[in-house]
Amino acid sequence: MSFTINGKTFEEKPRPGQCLRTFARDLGWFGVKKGCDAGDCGACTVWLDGKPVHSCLVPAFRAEGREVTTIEGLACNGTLHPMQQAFLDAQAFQCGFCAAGMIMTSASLSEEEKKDLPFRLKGNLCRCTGYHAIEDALAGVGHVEPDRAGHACGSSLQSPLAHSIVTGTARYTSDIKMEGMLHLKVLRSPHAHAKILAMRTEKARAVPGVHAVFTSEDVPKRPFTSALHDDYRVDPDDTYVLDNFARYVGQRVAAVVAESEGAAEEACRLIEVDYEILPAVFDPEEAMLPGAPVLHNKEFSSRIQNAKKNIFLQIDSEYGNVAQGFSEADVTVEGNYSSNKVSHAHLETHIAIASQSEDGRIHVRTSSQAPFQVRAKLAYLFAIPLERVHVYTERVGGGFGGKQEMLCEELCVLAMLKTGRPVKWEFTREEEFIAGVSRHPMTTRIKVGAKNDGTLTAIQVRVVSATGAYGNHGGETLAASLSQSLQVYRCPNMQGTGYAVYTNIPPSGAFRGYGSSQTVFAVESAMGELARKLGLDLMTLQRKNVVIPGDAVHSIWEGPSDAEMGSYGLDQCMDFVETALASGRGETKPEGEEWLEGKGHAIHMHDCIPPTEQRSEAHIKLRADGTYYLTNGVTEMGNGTITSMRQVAASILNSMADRIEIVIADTDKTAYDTGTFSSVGTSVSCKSVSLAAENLRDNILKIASEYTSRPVEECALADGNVQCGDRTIPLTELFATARDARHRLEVMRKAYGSPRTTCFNVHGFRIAVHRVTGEIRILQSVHAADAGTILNPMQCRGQVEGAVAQGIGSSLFERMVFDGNGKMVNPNFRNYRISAFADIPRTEIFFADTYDAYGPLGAKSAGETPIIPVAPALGNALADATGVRFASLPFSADRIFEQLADAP
Amino acid sequence: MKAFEYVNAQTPESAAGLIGTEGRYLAGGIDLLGEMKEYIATPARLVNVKNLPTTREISKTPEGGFRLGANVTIAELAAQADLPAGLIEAAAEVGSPQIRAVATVGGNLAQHSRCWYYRQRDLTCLKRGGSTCYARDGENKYNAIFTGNPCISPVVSNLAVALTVLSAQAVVWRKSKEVRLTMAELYADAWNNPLAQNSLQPGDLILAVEIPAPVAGVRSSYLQVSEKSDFDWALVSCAAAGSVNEGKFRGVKIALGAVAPVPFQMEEANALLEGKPCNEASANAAASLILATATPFSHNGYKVPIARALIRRTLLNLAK
Repeated sequence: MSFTINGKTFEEKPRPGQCLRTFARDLGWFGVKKGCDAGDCGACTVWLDGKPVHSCLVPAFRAEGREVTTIEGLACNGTLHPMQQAFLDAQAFQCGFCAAGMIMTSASLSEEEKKDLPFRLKGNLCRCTGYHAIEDALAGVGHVEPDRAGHACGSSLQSPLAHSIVTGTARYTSDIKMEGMLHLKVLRSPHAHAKILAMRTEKARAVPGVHAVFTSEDVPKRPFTSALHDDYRVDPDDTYVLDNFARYVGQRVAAVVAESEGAAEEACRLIEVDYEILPAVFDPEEAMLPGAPVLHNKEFSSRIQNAKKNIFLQIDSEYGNVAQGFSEADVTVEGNYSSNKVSHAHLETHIAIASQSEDGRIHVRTSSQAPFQVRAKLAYLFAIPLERVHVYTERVGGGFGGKQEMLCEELCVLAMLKTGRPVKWEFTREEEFIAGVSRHPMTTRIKVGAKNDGTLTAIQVRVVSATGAYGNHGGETLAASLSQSLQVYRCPNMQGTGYAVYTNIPPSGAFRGYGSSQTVFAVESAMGELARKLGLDLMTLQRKNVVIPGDAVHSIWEGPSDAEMGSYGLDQCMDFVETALASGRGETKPEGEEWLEGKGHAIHMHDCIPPTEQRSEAHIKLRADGTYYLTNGVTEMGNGTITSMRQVAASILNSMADRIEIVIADTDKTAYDTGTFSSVGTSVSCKSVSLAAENLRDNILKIASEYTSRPVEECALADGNVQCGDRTIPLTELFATARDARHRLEVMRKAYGSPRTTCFNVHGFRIAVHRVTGEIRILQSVHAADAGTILNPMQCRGQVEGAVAQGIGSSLFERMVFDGNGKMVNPNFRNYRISAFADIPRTEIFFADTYDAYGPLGAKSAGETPIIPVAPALGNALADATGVRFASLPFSADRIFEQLADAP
Repeated sequence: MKAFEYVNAQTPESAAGLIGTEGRYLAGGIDLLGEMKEYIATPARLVNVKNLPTTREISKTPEGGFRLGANVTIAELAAQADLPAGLIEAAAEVGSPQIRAVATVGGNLAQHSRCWYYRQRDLTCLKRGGSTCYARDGENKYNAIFTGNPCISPVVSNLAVALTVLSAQAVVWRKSKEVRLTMAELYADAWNNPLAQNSLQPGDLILAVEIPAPVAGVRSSYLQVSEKSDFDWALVSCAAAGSVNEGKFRGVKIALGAVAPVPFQMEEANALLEGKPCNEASANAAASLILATATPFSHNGYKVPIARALIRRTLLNLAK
């Protein structure tokens, strides 16, 4: 029996029950990824005798005597396969986790088959790109521009990681093997609310290969929150590494470490638990009522505001006087809106590996958006000095907020400390759904008052947010939902009341749009209703009421604010979308009078930085060989910050980007960075780079001026040298000179997240709706963004395309469904459906021409916010087409059918 | 996944001998490996049936019909241009290219329920021997609108629906001999018995599917509506076969998928269409008859208008 993979013959035999995916990875072919392990996502696609298959659904024995090809076998004698080159040229990936599988499928297609990509790419999912760039790659369209000194800012430069991604050599956390590594698995609660009375672990410990079993007895008695914020006090300390109470179906109650995942899983099944089942509550309104089961009977020090009513946080705030505002109104509209629980569905699941070096330091390789916060939490939990903990990421396969959370690192460290062996824990896709985090489902009651001419007089919102069994991110998302969602309107009276409520469902967390998405859906839907009631066009109503340059940024809060409009492009964005929707571009409505057509749009203004503490620190130096070395603690998970940072530095140093080596996301090698979330990649982390690069540039010029005795005004940096009048000094020479003169061409600068600038997004749709079946077809999709200076057009377009795709999915079909016992019934990609190639229309994308006063080189956030106006734009288009207001997400065919059937 | 023993069978007789009480036949493995990974199936032994003689071929029968070996992949089937159009259309809608390259005709017919509750590892629903059909009062958006038993899981095989209207028969190895089952017979048990996925008995193995010789002028068509465009099961599917002579339906058969535990057909509707003009009115009349007894649940009422639209479109396709 022998196996041939990428032309090499292996004598190893698969284990009984092993699939081709893990067998290939055991033999070192790490380009074969795991996204679902169920044949749903295509990340593990390999060729079997030249045909693409999901290697997770092929028993390894089946490959005997056949030719297996993985992404690593595609290049020939060092020359990339044309499809790898095409993906490189179009930069048809972001985090890169799906790219290997996507390329394997794409490279198998004939020219004829490439004409029907929606059909041919059914088996490959990408959560980042929105598929436009993939379509371009298959059509041979390239976007990458040459790296030229002096042109870095504004050029579509390729990611420094691109080559490793298309060749399958990029190393994600799961691709790391360590000597003696053990595997961790957990037992999860089958009950939504229960007290653990006793646990018997003898049988589990007896399973061959098992090293240890951990229960709540074995963990530090320190409550913490899994949310990653610099200011940990914004989240409640309501979580233990392992608890003796289970508060949702799927909460971990015990952990096993073993030589193999299989042994650990088997041992988990043999742990016997005696539960005292407690009454559970799933609806947040019911959870606040007297007599409801109480989830957290905790001390006040846990920062839970009203534990007896299951309210982690209540917010009440008013700006102006809404009662008076409504009394002045000629017209009011009211509505109740609700949003769904949505999974991030990054294709790389949560994963961490903990190990210890001989000096006793702890090393954690993880897939996190905020390694410095993970370090702080681990140091706190295990009562060890910060310096003894090293946390780092390399490639991260998507985040979208889901990895602004510590969900697996702590158990790996616990197990590693107890066993003395490296420990790895990788979530399954099911665990990602039931025990990862997800978007907060919120219900919003909104009332808006206006004069007959459309002038807004008052806006009032009441938001109930289901934070789930734990309060991580429950407070900050609630605050954002009540404030950011309103601040695009210059209404004199605004009031918000909000509750972040515990229920016995899996915890919610940070999700792209962070609370704003949910309430903007309500606000923009209500504006659509108001426009209809007033007989006004929605654009006209909005233009009358939106903030204008010079306005203060305000919503429901009294008191001063550090949010400011550093540049203003809302007017341009609205014009772009209005003109595009009026152009007649896009598809035409299907024939037949049962098809209705409608247009709709929505607007949003977003803070580019969170109100919590945010800072970043860049170090940059000139090296002896005339290149630069840049470090920053930012993480890269497909958001493109690493590319932007090099471009910012290159632009300021008038250099090619390739002359700048960059190291990120490593608590040993880089200085503190709060974390990559809340739109800060450009606004804060890149800002520190621009400050450092400017300072380094000034230093270099000063030294060059002294060295050449020319006035500094006559000195300028060029690629690889300094031009001082008519003299050209190579940077290598200048470096040597500076060293001799004891100058240090090494700079550190910090950037702080204050003041906080704002960005704008407007999305428009033209859609067709089948009045009988409820089927929706998107005929035209238009997005306009004000992201200030566009540092990298290809990358910014990609961020918008990906956000819009995620928005379309969560508006049309994504929904985590729970049964009456609080158990999620669709925890897999087959039943929780994310967008595939065929589901996503081509969006027309426009960028406003503005220059931000605070951001690096005039740039501000681009990646997070385009998702926010998507749902209400679809809702407004649906209302336009059908005359019916759909107030509950998602707009799936069955719901539309039900409501249309009931409509008069 | 529970570790299993992997053995090769060379003949139907040896396969049936190897399967024992804890074994399962392994063909493409798409459905089976999924069930095993979810611990819904925990076979101790997998009997590889891919090497059984003639099961990987599409051949002509002596009567001029087609014999599709059970191990023919869906991709091979979809590429066989001389097969009836409705069958090719049904095959093309199966899964993704990666799945079609591996999945087989036999496996598609024998695949198990995709009901969310059936697929829950920790839940023992009615179909898995429990006492409750959780879908009835739960998330039943994708479930049946016709059933003869308390379980409302629908049959999801595309091929079964297309083969029903083509009057195909499954060739099944049963107790050391070949028996032939119509599609109705292949699924009949699932109508009444909540535990049954189909009428196959322990040890039964589908060896082939035989399609009668095509009759001149007879066309077939298959259409489905799915919620989204990646590989997705049909919300409703519909197949029809028959001819249209001088503007009139002749010998038409029609069947619906994803609405019942069996490919759903109604002889009265076929009879009603006989000799009727090929137009929307006739198609609507057939649809009304077929759907008259539908009993939708809380979340799947939308399937009725979709089925109606599909019946109309599929029937009118026969004239094209």
